[in-house]
Amino acid sequence: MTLDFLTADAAAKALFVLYFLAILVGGIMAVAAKSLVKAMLGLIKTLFGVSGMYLLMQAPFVALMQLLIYVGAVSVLIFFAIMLTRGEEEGRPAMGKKILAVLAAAAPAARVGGLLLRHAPMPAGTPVEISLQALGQLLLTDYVLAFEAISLVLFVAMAGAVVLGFERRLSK
Amino acid sequence: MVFTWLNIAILAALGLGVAFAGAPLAGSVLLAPRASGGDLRMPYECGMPPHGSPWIRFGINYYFYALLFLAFDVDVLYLFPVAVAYTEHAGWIELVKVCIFLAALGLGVLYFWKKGVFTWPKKIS
Repeated sequence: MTLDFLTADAAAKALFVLYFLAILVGGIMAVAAKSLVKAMLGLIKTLFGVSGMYLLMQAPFVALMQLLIYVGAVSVLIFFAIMLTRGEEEGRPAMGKKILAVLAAAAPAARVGGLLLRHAPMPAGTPVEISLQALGQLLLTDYVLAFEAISLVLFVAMAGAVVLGFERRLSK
Repeated sequence: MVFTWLNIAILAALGLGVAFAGAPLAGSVLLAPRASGGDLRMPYECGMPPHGSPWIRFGINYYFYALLFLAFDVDVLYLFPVAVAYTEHAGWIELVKVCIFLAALGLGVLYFWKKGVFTWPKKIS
Protein backbone atom coordinates (compact mmCIF):
# COMPACT_ATOMS: atom_id res chain seq x y z
CA MET A 1 0.00 0.00 0.00
CA THR A 2 1.50 3.29 -1.05
CA LEU A 3 1.11 6.49 0.82
CA ASP A 4 1.92 8.80 -2.05
CA PHE A 5 -1.24 10.80 -1.70
CA LEU A 6 -0.39 11.57 1.91
CA THR A 7 2.12 14.31 1.26
CA ALA A 8 2.79 17.15 3.64
CA ASP A 9 0.90 19.48 1.35
CA ALA A 10 -2.19 17.27 1.36
CA ALA A 11 -1.97 16.96 5.13
CA ALA A 12 -1.80 20.75 5.45
CA LYS A 13 -4.85 21.08 3.22
CA ALA A 14 -6.76 18.49 5.22
CA LEU A 15 -5.89 20.32 8.43
CA PHE A 16 -6.97 23.59 6.83
CA VAL A 17 -10.37 22.08 6.03
CA LEU A 18 -10.62 20.74 9.59
CA TYR A 19 -9.83 24.13 11.14
CA PHE A 20 -12.09 25.91 8.68
CA LEU A 21 -14.97 23.62 9.65
CA ALA A 22 -14.20 24.20 13.33
CA ILE A 23 -14.38 27.96 12.81
CA LEU A 24 -17.55 27.78 10.74
CA VAL A 25 -19.42 25.29 12.93
CA GLY A 26 -18.32 27.15 16.06
CA GLY A 27 -19.48 30.45 14.63
CA ILE A 28 -22.88 29.07 13.67
CA MET A 29 -23.17 27.47 17.10
CA ALA A 30 -22.30 30.75 18.80
CA VAL A 31 -24.96 32.63 16.85
CA ALA A 32 -27.72 30.04 16.79
CA ALA A 33 -27.51 28.50 20.27
CA LYS A 34 -30.39 29.30 22.56
CA SER A 35 -28.33 28.98 25.68
CA LEU A 36 -25.61 31.56 26.20
CA VAL A 37 -23.30 28.94 27.66
CA LYS A 38 -23.67 26.80 24.56
CA ALA A 39 -23.01 29.88 22.43
CA MET A 40 -19.80 30.36 24.36
CA LEU A 41 -18.82 26.75 23.65
CA GLY A 42 -19.23 27.57 19.97
CA LEU A 43 -17.02 30.62 20.40
CA ILE A 44 -14.36 28.47 22.05
CA LYS A 45 -14.51 26.08 19.11
CA THR A 46 -13.99 28.99 16.74
CA LEU A 47 -11.01 30.18 18.76
CA PHE A 48 -9.52 26.68 18.57
CA GLY A 49 -9.90 26.73 14.80
CA VAL A 50 -8.21 30.14 14.55
CA SER A 51 -5.35 28.81 16.63
CA GLY A 52 -5.01 25.95 14.16
CA MET A 53 -4.84 28.47 11.32
CA TYR A 54 -1.94 30.19 13.09
CA LEU A 55 -0.19 26.83 13.27
CA LEU A 56 -0.61 26.37 9.52
CA MET A 57 0.88 29.84 9.02
CA GLN A 58 4.05 28.74 10.82
CA ALA A 59 3.34 30.81 13.92
CA PRO A 60 3.25 28.17 16.66
CA PHE A 61 3.91 30.70 19.42
CA VAL A 62 0.95 32.82 18.41
CA ALA A 63 -1.14 29.65 18.12
CA LEU A 64 -0.24 28.49 21.62
CA MET A 65 -0.83 31.96 23.03
CA GLN A 66 -4.20 31.99 21.31
CA LEU A 67 -4.99 28.82 23.23
CA LEU A 68 -3.59 30.18 26.49
CA ILE A 69 -5.21 33.61 26.39
CA TYR A 70 -8.37 33.27 24.33
CA VAL A 71 -9.39 29.70 25.05
CA GLY A 72 -7.98 29.81 28.58
CA ALA A 73 -8.65 33.26 29.95
CA VAL A 74 -11.01 35.24 27.74
CA SER A 75 -13.58 32.45 27.64
CA VAL A 76 -13.48 32.24 31.44
CA LEU A 77 -14.01 35.99 31.54
CA ILE A 78 -17.00 35.72 29.19
CA PHE A 79 -18.39 32.89 31.28
CA PHE A 80 -18.14 35.09 34.35
CA ALA A 81 -19.89 37.87 32.48
CA ILE A 82 -22.72 35.50 31.52
CA MET A 83 -23.09 34.34 35.11
CA LEU A 84 -23.03 37.92 36.37
CA THR A 85 -25.57 39.48 34.09
CA ARG A 86 -28.05 36.78 33.27
CA GLY A 87 -31.34 36.97 35.02
CA GLU A 88 -34.39 34.96 34.13
CA GLU A 89 -34.91 33.19 30.84
CA GLU A 90 -35.92 35.62 28.17
CA GLY A 91 -38.39 34.91 25.43
CA ARG A 92 -37.47 34.58 21.79
CA PRO A 93 -36.35 37.83 20.19
CA ALA A 94 -38.83 39.71 18.06
CA MET A 95 -38.71 39.49 14.28
CA GLY A 96 -37.70 43.13 13.83
CA LYS A 97 -34.78 42.63 16.15
CA LYS A 98 -33.66 39.60 14.18
CA ILE A 99 -33.73 41.53 10.92
CA LEU A 100 -31.73 44.33 12.50
CA ALA A 101 -29.21 41.80 13.81
CA VAL A 102 -28.76 40.27 10.35
CA LEU A 103 -28.31 43.76 8.88
CA ALA A 104 -25.77 44.67 11.54
CA ALA A 105 -23.81 41.51 10.79
CA ALA A 106 -24.08 41.91 7.01
CA ALA A 107 -22.84 45.49 6.87
CA PRO A 108 -19.24 44.87 8.02
CA ALA A 109 -19.16 41.54 6.16
CA ALA A 110 -20.14 43.25 2.92
CA ARG A 111 -17.63 46.04 3.49
CA VAL A 112 -14.70 43.73 4.26
CA GLY A 113 -15.76 41.26 1.57
CA GLY A 114 -15.93 44.05 -1.02
CA LEU A 115 -12.48 45.26 -0.04
CA LEU A 116 -11.10 41.74 -0.32
CA LEU A 117 -12.68 41.26 -3.75
CA ARG A 118 -11.30 44.54 -5.06
CA HIS A 119 -7.84 44.17 -3.56
CA ALA A 120 -7.05 40.47 -3.72
CA PRO A 121 -4.41 39.47 -1.19
CA MET A 122 -1.05 38.83 -2.73
CA PRO A 123 0.25 35.27 -2.56
CA ALA A 124 2.80 35.50 0.18
CA GLY A 125 4.61 32.28 -0.58
CA THR A 126 5.47 29.72 2.02
CA PRO A 127 5.54 31.33 5.45
CA VAL A 128 8.76 31.09 7.37
CA GLU A 129 8.74 30.51 11.08
CA ILE A 130 10.24 33.32 13.13
CA SER A 131 11.94 31.91 16.18
CA LEU A 132 10.87 32.86 19.66
CA GLN A 133 14.41 34.00 20.31
CA ALA A 134 14.29 36.50 17.45
CA LEU A 135 11.02 37.88 18.80
CA GLY A 136 12.48 38.26 22.27
CA GLN A 137 15.61 39.83 20.84
CA LEU A 138 13.51 42.51 19.17
CA LEU A 139 11.47 43.09 22.31
CA LEU A 140 14.66 43.64 24.29
CA THR A 141 16.37 45.93 21.77
CA ASP A 142 14.39 47.76 19.08
CA TYR A 143 10.98 47.55 20.69
CA VAL A 144 11.99 47.87 24.31
CA LEU A 145 9.84 50.97 24.80
CA ALA A 146 6.79 49.13 23.51
CA PHE A 147 7.69 46.20 25.75
CA GLU A 148 7.74 48.40 28.86
CA ALA A 149 4.62 50.24 27.73
CA ILE A 150 2.70 46.95 27.49
CA SER A 151 3.33 46.27 31.15
CA LEU A 152 2.21 49.79 32.04
CA VAL A 153 -0.92 49.55 29.89
CA LEU A 154 -1.88 46.24 31.49
CA PHE A 155 -1.30 47.71 34.94
CA VAL A 156 -3.54 50.66 34.12
CA ALA A 157 -6.20 48.30 32.78
CA MET A 158 -6.14 46.17 35.92
CA ALA A 159 -6.03 49.11 38.29
CA GLY A 160 -8.79 50.88 36.39
CA ALA A 161 -11.06 47.88 36.67
CA VAL A 162 -10.41 47.61 40.39
CA VAL A 163 -10.89 51.34 40.98
CA LEU A 164 -14.17 51.37 39.09
CA GLY A 165 -15.80 48.27 40.35
CA PHE A 166 -14.19 46.55 43.26
CA GLU A 167 -16.05 46.62 46.52
CA ARG A 168 -14.21 45.76 49.66
CA ARG A 169 -15.99 42.90 51.27
CA LEU A 170 -16.55 43.21 54.95
CA SER A 171 -15.38 40.23 56.93
CA LYS A 172 -17.52 39.31 59.83
CA MET B 1 0.08 26.51 4.51
CA VAL B 2 2.75 24.45 6.11
CA PHE B 3 2.27 21.12 7.75
CA THR B 4 4.02 20.58 11.07
CA TRP B 5 3.68 17.66 13.42
CA LEU B 6 2.77 20.15 16.15
CA ASN B 7 -0.72 20.23 14.62
CA ILE B 8 -1.07 16.51 15.09
CA ALA B 9 0.41 16.65 18.57
CA ILE B 10 -2.08 19.27 19.73
CA LEU B 11 -5.00 17.48 18.10
CA ALA B 12 -3.87 14.21 19.69
CA ALA B 13 -3.66 15.89 23.10
CA LEU B 14 -7.14 17.31 22.52
CA GLY B 15 -8.42 13.86 21.58
CA LEU B 16 -6.81 12.38 24.65
CA GLY B 17 -8.50 15.01 26.81
CA VAL B 18 -11.88 14.33 25.21
CA ALA B 19 -11.39 10.59 25.72
CA PHE B 20 -10.34 11.14 29.32
CA ALA B 21 -13.49 13.15 29.98
CA GLY B 22 -15.75 11.03 27.82
CA ALA B 23 -14.71 7.57 28.99
CA PRO B 24 -16.20 7.90 32.51
CA LEU B 25 -19.41 9.28 31.02
CA ALA B 26 -19.61 6.41 28.53
CA GLY B 27 -18.73 3.97 31.30
CA SER B 28 -21.50 5.24 33.51
CA VAL B 29 -23.99 5.00 30.65
CA LEU B 30 -22.92 1.43 29.94
CA LEU B 31 -22.40 0.10 33.44
CA ALA B 32 -24.49 2.11 35.90
CA PRO B 33 -27.87 0.79 37.01
CA ARG B 34 -30.81 2.61 35.51
CA ALA B 35 -33.07 4.68 37.71
CA SER B 36 -35.67 7.28 36.99
CA GLY B 37 -38.36 9.34 38.64
CA GLY B 38 -38.45 10.73 42.12
CA ASP B 39 -36.01 13.47 42.99
CA LEU B 40 -33.36 12.27 40.55
CA ARG B 41 -33.36 15.50 38.57
CA MET B 42 -32.97 17.71 41.63
CA PRO B 43 -29.61 19.42 42.19
CA TYR B 44 -29.34 17.68 45.54
CA GLU B 45 -31.12 14.40 45.52
CA CYS B 46 -31.13 13.99 49.28
CA GLY B 47 -31.05 17.57 50.47
CA MET B 48 -33.37 20.48 50.84
CA PRO B 49 -35.67 21.23 47.91
CA PRO B 50 -34.17 24.35 46.31
CA HIS B 51 -36.15 27.55 45.93
CA GLY B 52 -36.31 29.60 42.79
CA SER B 53 -34.20 29.51 39.69
CA PRO B 54 -30.60 28.30 39.80
CA TRP B 55 -29.65 31.36 37.75
CA ILE B 56 -28.65 33.83 40.39
CA ARG B 57 -26.47 36.87 40.02
CA PHE B 58 -23.41 36.68 42.14
CA GLY B 59 -21.09 39.40 43.31
CA ILE B 60 -19.22 41.45 40.73
CA ASN B 61 -16.10 40.94 42.82
CA TYR B 62 -15.55 37.49 41.38
CA TYR B 63 -15.12 39.07 37.98
CA PHE B 64 -11.96 40.84 39.08
CA TYR B 65 -10.11 37.61 39.65
CA ALA B 66 -10.81 36.58 36.08
CA LEU B 67 -9.84 40.03 34.86
CA LEU B 68 -6.58 40.10 36.79
CA PHE B 69 -5.82 36.58 35.58
CA LEU B 70 -6.35 37.72 31.99
CA ALA B 71 -4.04 40.71 32.40
CA PHE B 72 -1.26 38.60 33.89
CA ASP B 73 -1.83 36.03 31.16
CA VAL B 74 -1.15 38.69 28.54
CA ASP B 75 1.99 39.65 30.45
CA VAL B 76 3.20 36.08 30.25
CA LEU B 77 2.76 36.24 26.48
CA TYR B 78 5.48 38.89 26.32
CA LEU B 79 7.69 37.34 28.96
CA PHE B 80 8.06 34.06 27.04
CA PRO B 81 10.05 35.43 24.07
CA VAL B 82 12.03 37.75 26.32
CA ALA B 83 12.94 34.87 28.60
CA VAL B 84 14.12 32.83 25.62
CA ALA B 85 16.28 35.68 24.27
CA TYR B 86 17.51 36.71 27.72
CA THR B 87 20.37 34.21 27.91
CA GLU B 88 21.87 35.66 24.74
CA HIS B 89 22.79 38.85 26.51
CA ALA B 90 25.51 39.68 28.95
CA GLY B 91 25.38 42.57 31.37
CA TRP B 92 22.93 44.43 33.51
CA ILE B 93 20.95 46.41 31.01
CA GLU B 94 18.62 43.51 30.05
CA LEU B 95 18.05 42.75 33.71
CA VAL B 96 17.00 46.36 34.21
CA LYS B 97 14.67 46.21 31.23
CA VAL B 98 12.93 43.07 32.48
CA CYS B 99 12.81 44.48 36.00
CA ILE B 100 11.03 47.62 34.81
CA PHE B 101 8.48 45.39 33.10
CA LEU B 102 8.00 43.36 36.25
CA ALA B 103 8.00 46.43 38.50
CA ALA B 104 4.85 47.82 36.93
CA LEU B 105 3.12 44.51 37.56
CA GLY B 106 4.56 44.30 41.04
CA LEU B 107 3.18 47.74 41.80
CA GLY B 108 -0.15 46.47 40.59
CA VAL B 109 -0.01 43.52 42.94
CA LEU B 110 0.90 45.81 45.84
CA TYR B 111 -1.97 48.14 45.00
CA PHE B 112 -4.47 45.30 44.87
CA TRP B 113 -3.14 43.96 48.13
CA LYS B 114 -3.68 47.34 49.79
CA LYS B 115 -7.10 47.61 48.23
CA GLY B 116 -8.09 44.26 49.71
CA VAL B 117 -8.52 42.33 46.49
CA PHE B 118 -6.61 39.37 47.84
CA THR B 119 -8.39 39.04 51.17
CA TRP B 120 -11.07 36.45 51.18
CA PRO B 121 -13.52 36.87 54.03
CA LYS B 122 -15.45 33.93 55.32
CA LYS B 123 -18.77 35.44 54.47
CA ILE B 124 -19.29 36.92 51.04
CA SER B 125 -22.24 39.16 50.53
